[in-house]
Amino acid sequence: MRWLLICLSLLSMNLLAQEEGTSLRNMREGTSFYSKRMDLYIKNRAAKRLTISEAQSLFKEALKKQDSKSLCAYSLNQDALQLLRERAIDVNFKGFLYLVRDTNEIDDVSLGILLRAHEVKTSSLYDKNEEHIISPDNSEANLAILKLIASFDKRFAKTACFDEAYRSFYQEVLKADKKIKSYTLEGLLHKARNEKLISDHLFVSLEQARINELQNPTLTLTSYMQKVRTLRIQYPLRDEKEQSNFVTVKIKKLKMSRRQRLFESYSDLQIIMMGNIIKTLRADLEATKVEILVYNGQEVRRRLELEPMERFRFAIKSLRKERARLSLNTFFNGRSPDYMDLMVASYEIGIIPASELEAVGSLEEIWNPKKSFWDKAGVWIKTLSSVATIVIPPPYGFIPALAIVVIEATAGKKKDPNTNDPSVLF
Amino acid sequence: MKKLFFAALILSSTFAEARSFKAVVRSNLNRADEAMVELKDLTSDKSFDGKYFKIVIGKSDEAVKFDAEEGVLMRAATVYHHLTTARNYFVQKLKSDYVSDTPKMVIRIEHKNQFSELGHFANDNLEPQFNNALTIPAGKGLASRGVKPWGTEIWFRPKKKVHISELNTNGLANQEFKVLLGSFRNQIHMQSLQRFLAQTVQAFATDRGQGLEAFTMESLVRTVGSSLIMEFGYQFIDPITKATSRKWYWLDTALVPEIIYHEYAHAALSDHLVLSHSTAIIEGMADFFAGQIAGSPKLAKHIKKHNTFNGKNAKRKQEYMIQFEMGEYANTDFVFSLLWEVKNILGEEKGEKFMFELRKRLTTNSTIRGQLLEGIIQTCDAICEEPFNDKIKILKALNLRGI
Repeated sequence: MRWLLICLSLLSMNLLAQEEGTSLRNMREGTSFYSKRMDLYIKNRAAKRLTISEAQSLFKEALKKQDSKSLCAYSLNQDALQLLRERAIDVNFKGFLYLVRDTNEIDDVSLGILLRAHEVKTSSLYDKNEEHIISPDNSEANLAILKLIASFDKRFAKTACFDEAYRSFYQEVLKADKKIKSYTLEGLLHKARNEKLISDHLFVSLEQARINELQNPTLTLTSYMQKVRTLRIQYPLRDEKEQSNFVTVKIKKLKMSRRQRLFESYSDLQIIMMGNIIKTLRADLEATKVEILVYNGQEVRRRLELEPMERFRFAIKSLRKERARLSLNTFFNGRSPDYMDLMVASYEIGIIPASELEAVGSLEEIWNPKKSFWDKAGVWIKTLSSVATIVIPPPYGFIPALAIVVIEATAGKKKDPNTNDPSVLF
Repeated sequence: MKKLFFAALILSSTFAEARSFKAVVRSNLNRADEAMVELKDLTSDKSFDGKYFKIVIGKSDEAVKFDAEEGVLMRAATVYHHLTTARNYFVQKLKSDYVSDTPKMVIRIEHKNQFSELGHFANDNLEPQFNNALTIPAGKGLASRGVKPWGTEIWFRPKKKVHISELNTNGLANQEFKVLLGSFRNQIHMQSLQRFLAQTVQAFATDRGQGLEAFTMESLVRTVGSSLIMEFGYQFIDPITKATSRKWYWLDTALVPEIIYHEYAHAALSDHLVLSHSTAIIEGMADFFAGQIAGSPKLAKHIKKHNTFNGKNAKRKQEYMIQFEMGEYANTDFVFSLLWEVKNILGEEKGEKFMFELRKRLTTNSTIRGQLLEGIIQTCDAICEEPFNDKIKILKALNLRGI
């Protein structure tokens, strides 16, 4: 009886694990990154065609059809679209995905991957005249690539997801011609279609992949899930309901959120290493006593206890040193992670709770202070005033001189006041 | 009948009366106005003798009579009224057991004698004191010399006009202005030199050796003139400032509500901050609670107008200097504005309780950079709702201040 119970419990755990494996549920993110006016407009329009719960159940149904071990964004999208068509729901697919995000059935990272897959599959081909396409010569390399194109379905796309298949295909293409240009590949794809080596459908797919530069490594659903799974095994979530808006903030000059960038740019191991740096920082900030010991051999000659502000600055300086050291680590290969990436990594592995992210994140201002409009303008005004002191004749020459003095008196004060203070250690 | 008579007698002696007097109060615009105020908890119907305070003149032990001359009456009423306000703040808002258990305090107005730890009042021959106020600790007295024990007292000195030349002012504001003027002067001199060099090069380049003709008298005067005018202004700024600024200073401490709050705060905080000597932290803490009772951060600004200690301004973001730790240089404005900033980070209600709790971790000998900051961090650990977040906010703000 006991053995039966153990077997049953193991079986149920296995089932649960499988269930977990196919889940893309949002466990960490607060307000979606996709909450801009346009996104909301698309979502609201979609909401007129189907309810949130309908969207959720449809998506769940599509997700069930997927292979839990190798989730593919392209086939998931395809199945979801198929279900929508079957139920005669005419809805913008992006809007449908936004509705699903609203139910927390997926998070922004998964949503980003699905949106990108949808974008690739719906990107229109340039209606180029055949005459304008540079026809490739019949070199050995081109003939080899033609063979690769013809074997795409059988050799690459049989088991793998479309993006992964294209990446493998492109690797092989590079082996044949490592300097291949995009227009050469375009010509070869056209040639393959004209010579009936590939179907029109495959031609369109490969062209879409080429236009969207799918050969460049991007995050896939499988790799994302793999990363999350590894992190959760080593660092189980302390609070499963915890969500943060800090991680869904848009990164400047990039079209992605902080969390999306984290998973896009770093491996699970790197994320753990980054998070551990913040763990050390937190411990340093919470330290009630920091001492410097001066040794002579084994004997302590001097014991210096740091004052509260020295402790604080020691923690900040120690963090910056750890960051620099991290870039020397083999796993980072000279790459120095951004402070915000460290923050998001620490949140991901549960070292910093959501409620503390903003406060710890704001520490960056200490070594990287924000420049106000007047700080930036001051540099230009000072430069122009220097020239103006010579150009403008008396008695108006005092105006630029006054401008320089005022700028120096106000902007100059914001420098670190402890730089030249001999009374502090840190 | 006899019992009834005694009961009436007891009631009449303990019954706290309320009477109205003219006193100095702050208007909505924070100006000093005269208004009728109701003095509460008076136990006498003839003098300023109440349940918690007795107002006396100088060394006298007798409370000021209600029929005293108008000036004295005004000072006694103002002091009594604002001390009652301050006491209520500590008892009712901060729930201070120490204050509520404090016995009746003697408050001296128009008192010139210096303080003696042994004899209570220093000899009359010693230099009389004007234009300030102080809180003195309780003393055991000296029975052999007929000096009775005394409790914690607050002394308000009479006002006296003092000429500016007698004051040892090292006004920070003046110094800052002088530094700014010095930079401007250097810039003007540099500008003149640059223009001179530019004209020289230009003249030689265009006239091939006959360039000196290009230096007309007019251009020379223009170039050198601005430097001369600037130098004249810079050299004579001190006498000009002296001639145009106010020449006489005085301070009637018994008529300034914020000073009354400040002095009472010393007494209220003396359970931990013992009244042995004045330090930046003790004064800063008293300033903070005076500001809280007054409900205005403008306290320091208003004191600045009268005080011999210049540079008071709660909003000024002064940087920390190690000299602030020393008595001579101890800058109470720095501590006051620091505490005010911490309060703003934590919020009005929490900040107030935080500061009251903070006093437990301080002593009279605490330093700003050491025990004060350590105390702030420990107090936050003990009472902040989100200690880690709040501590980071506080430490960041302190770092910006340059501590």
